[in-house]
Amino acid sequence: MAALLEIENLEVEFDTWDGRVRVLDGVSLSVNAGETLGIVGESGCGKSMTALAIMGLVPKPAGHVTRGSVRFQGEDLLAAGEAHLREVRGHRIAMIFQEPMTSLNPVFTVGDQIAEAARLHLGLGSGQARARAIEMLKAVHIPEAERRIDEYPHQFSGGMRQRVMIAMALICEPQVLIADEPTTALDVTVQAQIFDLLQELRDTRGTAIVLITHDMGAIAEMADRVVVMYAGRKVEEGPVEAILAQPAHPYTRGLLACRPQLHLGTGGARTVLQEIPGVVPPLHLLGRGCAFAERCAHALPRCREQFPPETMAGEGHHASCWLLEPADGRQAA
Amino acid sequence: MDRLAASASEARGPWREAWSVFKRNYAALVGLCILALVLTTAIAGPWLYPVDPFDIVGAPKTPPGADADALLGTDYLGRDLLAGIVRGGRPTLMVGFFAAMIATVIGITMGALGGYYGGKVDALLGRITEFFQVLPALLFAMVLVMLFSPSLVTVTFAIGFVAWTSMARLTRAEFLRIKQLEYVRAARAIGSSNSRIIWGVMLPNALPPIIVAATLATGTAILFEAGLSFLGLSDPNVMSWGMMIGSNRNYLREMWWAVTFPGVCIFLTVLAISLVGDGLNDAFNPRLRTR
Repeated sequence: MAALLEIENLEVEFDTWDGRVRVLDGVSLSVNAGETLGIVGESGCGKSMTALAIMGLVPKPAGHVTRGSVRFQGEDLLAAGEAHLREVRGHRIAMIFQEPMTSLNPVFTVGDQIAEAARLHLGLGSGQARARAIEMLKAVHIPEAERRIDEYPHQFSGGMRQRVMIAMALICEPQVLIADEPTTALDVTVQAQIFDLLQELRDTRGTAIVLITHDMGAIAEMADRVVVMYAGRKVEEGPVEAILAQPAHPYTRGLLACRPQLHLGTGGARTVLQEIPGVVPPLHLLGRGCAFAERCAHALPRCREQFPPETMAGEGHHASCWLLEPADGRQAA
Repeated sequence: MDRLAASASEARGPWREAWSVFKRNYAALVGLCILALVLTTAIAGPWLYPVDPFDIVGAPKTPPGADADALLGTDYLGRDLLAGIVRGGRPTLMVGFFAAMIATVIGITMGALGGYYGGKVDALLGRITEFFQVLPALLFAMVLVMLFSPSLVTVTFAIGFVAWTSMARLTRAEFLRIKQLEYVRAARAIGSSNSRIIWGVMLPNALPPIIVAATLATGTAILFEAGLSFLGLSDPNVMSWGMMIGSNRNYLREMWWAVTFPGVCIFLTVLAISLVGDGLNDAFNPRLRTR
């Protein structure tokens, strides 16, 4: 079965003061209907850029999609015209953002903003669009939806605003919802509520979700499959169980080790929280090799010379790491 | 927490909230009262005091109080100054208002397109703005008025045409700021078109400082009109305050009243507009609200 959304070999470059920088390099991934795909990585690794590229919203004029394809239901969105892309955005593929405090327009009521996409794409009149917006507010569990629809964003809390954003994104029943760090700015308890809501909406509406996050906990809770990105490249991809239980790439292992553990040490001895040494290298300084080599405890001389090919690590589980090469004689531990 | 926020500002939009700040500003309220008085006089005055300001009603150069038919005295031709004051408000305010509106429309368009599209569009519109900015405004307006012969319409257009550059720069700056905000990305992500984003999403958020600037521009335009009139470049068939000053300027030393009364009117009107503009600025600017 063909995937609902399929990105192949996507390459995005940016003009900067340091010259042209490749922010996405050969990224391929796919999302099936009703599935949640998690994309993880540190800040600046290209997660959000992948999302923007899917939506055709790579910032211009600095950004350029130089290679690859984004196919949605078999149709290449990169080749599509702007008018057609506008029709896809918000209608077939919707997106929610990181900052619920600033992603709503302060001068319009939440009802107007939720109804906007329905007026735009479904051609609903203002009465129908309003009724639909109330329905959506109820679907995202906002109490007294009939009253609150006429309120302004500043009268909503952060968690409530993110619910409004989700209502806005889902009003046209898109096939794909891209959630770009939807809970980063929220309290932990509210985070859990938003994840529950997203899961519920996925299950009742069959919306595929692309969840972009740096939080492995969110991935464990939400995702069916996971793509791990580093410095603009996909370094590992696989089912969530495999990624969490047998991470194949040293970077993924590092990300998992960075999670604070909640069980108290017996006898009071706490384990020291691990970290990955160093930072993501500046993209204009990337060489030909594996970008993670500088920070990797297992780096081989070869790692700095040549980017490793995608290697099978299990059923539907791939990683780009020389340590997985059978020729190297060492399997990943 | 949302409960708290909701009860603090019972279902009020940002505009209602701005008004509640504005009405606590006494200077701005005084300005608003003066402005209301001026507007009422400009609208209803000609019916309340039906004397043609071009009619000669008494001896020339009658000082105020000397003639019961002309309470504020007469000008160098014997025309009733009170009639001029009453009638002169309307053209003065109209020139000010429409010139400011023309300047605002041009400025918003140039600034919004430049700020939104950036790149080459911005560079081109920026150069055009700079070109207009370096021209000496009064001189340029004079040239325009003289080219098309002075009338209320040409004066209005001339003032509007030289006064839009600051509005363009302000709008551009606001658009550059707002463009970075997530709700603009969100609007794009639901499939809104460029024009919808510019006029429907970004402009309403850029409006508060633009409204303040437009209000102040009305005052500036009135002063501009007075300046042009003083130089003799005003519609000879319409009695405006500026024209009253302009036509009596040669007799400034003999008859203070003929220029003082219209001058005071212009001063009070512009002052009132400035006070209202400042009040609007405080009302719209959240950083000043906590004062």
